[in-house]
Amino acid sequence: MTGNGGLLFGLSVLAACGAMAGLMIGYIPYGVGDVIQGLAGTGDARIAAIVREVRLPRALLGLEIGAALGLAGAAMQGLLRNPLAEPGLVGVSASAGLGAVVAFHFGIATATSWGLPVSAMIGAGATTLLLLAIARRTTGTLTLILSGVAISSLAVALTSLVLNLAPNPYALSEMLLWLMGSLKDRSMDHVLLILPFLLAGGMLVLLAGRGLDALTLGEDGAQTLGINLRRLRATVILATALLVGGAVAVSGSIGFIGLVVPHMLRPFVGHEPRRLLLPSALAGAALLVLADVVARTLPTNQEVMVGVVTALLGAPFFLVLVLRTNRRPA
Amino acid sequence: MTAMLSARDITVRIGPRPLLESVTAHFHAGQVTGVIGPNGAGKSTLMRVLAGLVAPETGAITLDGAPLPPPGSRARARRVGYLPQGHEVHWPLTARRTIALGRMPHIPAFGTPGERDSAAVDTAMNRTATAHLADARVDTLSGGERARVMLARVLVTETPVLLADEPVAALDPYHALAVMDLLAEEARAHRRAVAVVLHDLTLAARYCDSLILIDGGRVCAAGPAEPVLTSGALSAAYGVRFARGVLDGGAVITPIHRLDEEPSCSLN
Repeated sequence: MTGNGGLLFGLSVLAACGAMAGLMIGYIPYGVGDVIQGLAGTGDARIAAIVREVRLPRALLGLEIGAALGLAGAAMQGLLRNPLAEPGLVGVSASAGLGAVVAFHFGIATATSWGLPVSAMIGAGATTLLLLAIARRTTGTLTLILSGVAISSLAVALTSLVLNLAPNPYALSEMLLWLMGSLKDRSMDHVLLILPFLLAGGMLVLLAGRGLDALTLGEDGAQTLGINLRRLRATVILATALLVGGAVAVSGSIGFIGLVVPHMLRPFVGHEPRRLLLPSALAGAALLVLADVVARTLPTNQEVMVGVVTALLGAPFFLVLVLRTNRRPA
Repeated sequence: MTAMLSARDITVRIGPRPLLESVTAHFHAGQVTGVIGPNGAGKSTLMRVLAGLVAPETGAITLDGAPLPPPGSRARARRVGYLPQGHEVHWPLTARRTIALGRMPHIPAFGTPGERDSAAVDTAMNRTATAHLADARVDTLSGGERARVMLARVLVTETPVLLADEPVAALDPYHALAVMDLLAEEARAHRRAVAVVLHDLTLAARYCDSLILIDGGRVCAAGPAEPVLTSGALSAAYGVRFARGVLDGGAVITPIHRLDEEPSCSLN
């Protein structure tokens, strides 16, 4: 782990600036002084309430979820040794989305504020267990990924079924908007609810770092360097599930961060998988809070969902990425 | 001399088809042992079994008489080094960082590489003449340079056993000789047991102390190189007539024409 200090510091500053911007910008913009007074609880009580109860959870959630998605993306790309892999690939986010629409459908989402995220986590958890069972008996990473793709397709189909059976247009639009991915109207409860999942997932990814480095030499190379491949695969899958499942459970699916962030940073860490992990978490956090600021400041009559913003920025990037990869001789 | 790495009665099957059948082979410290045979004979499978990548249905592998630690463990990785075919590197690391990956079995889980590790990397780079490539990205290297970097990567682990699966495939004569010289030096000067899969029988004659000829998943001939290369089993296994001789002081063995009968060493 050499020479990452400057990069980590720079990205931390960027993420902090993004979070600060998130606290300042909104329906009524506040200055830096207002925000600091608001956080400290001194000064105008109304400003303090907005900063602490509305904008702070949103900014914290942006940092948390961005970090989770960036880290999960870096881990997944390392495991698959493919820069085009993304954390949604294994079907965990689609399953969490399914859990969420089910919660909407049966009114669990409106009955209690915990209903929706818990239902989404159950969806993600079920898929994770299934994937781990597959990972235990399969020898190839490809089989595991194709299983993930199949599970993902099934979850998407079932989600469509639930949407199809929506009791009324209002419920349908609620579900659809949620699926687009947003950090709007979340509370400190959400921030705290997913924190243990994200921390556990983060720890697991760091445990897998060494194995990801070894995979640079291929699966045979890694195994003959003393890496237990089955354990490594299971660790990364579980970590990704915790990170992505936790993130999707409160924010809906926010795409492209997990795909784009590790890819952008790779040249700065000498393309080394383990050194890529922490910077990806920090850059993901920075990117999501900034994208959320963009989403809130776009002059539209209804607020643009942050998942739409990341996709609008990410999709063209993805296209360029694919074309450049294709041009390079294999 | 006692056998160092021994594989006894190894059988590997995929479905009903046997890839290896009751193969017994010994690899001695201080020697280069060549594994030869036609395509599909089971040479790579044998290497993969020795490396712990394929679990044999029957049989056991021992190092100095003791069973090896389980595959995928760092203890195993410190004993048996494996250089796979193809030299794949999935991310464009620098040559030095790629070679340093070979130290992984010596570094504890959350440890950082120490002076001992970086000294081992320096030594391996000097031995393979790759020191000047240290900061070059591996994807920019030529085939010969890459082969030397990957060889350094496996040398740096400092294992008593070194397995190389076709290390000279796709290399020009100069680089093929350079790689074989290095492997021979590792065996003789550093007392490692070196096992190498070869297709070039002239290289096998020049560099290998002993040979194992495999065909159809069975050992057809094994022992000191010279008798194996002059045996009828060689022609029968490859289905080819070979010309043998000594030119400019070096042994040469080269294919002349195909034989009419089906290649199989059991006909012998």
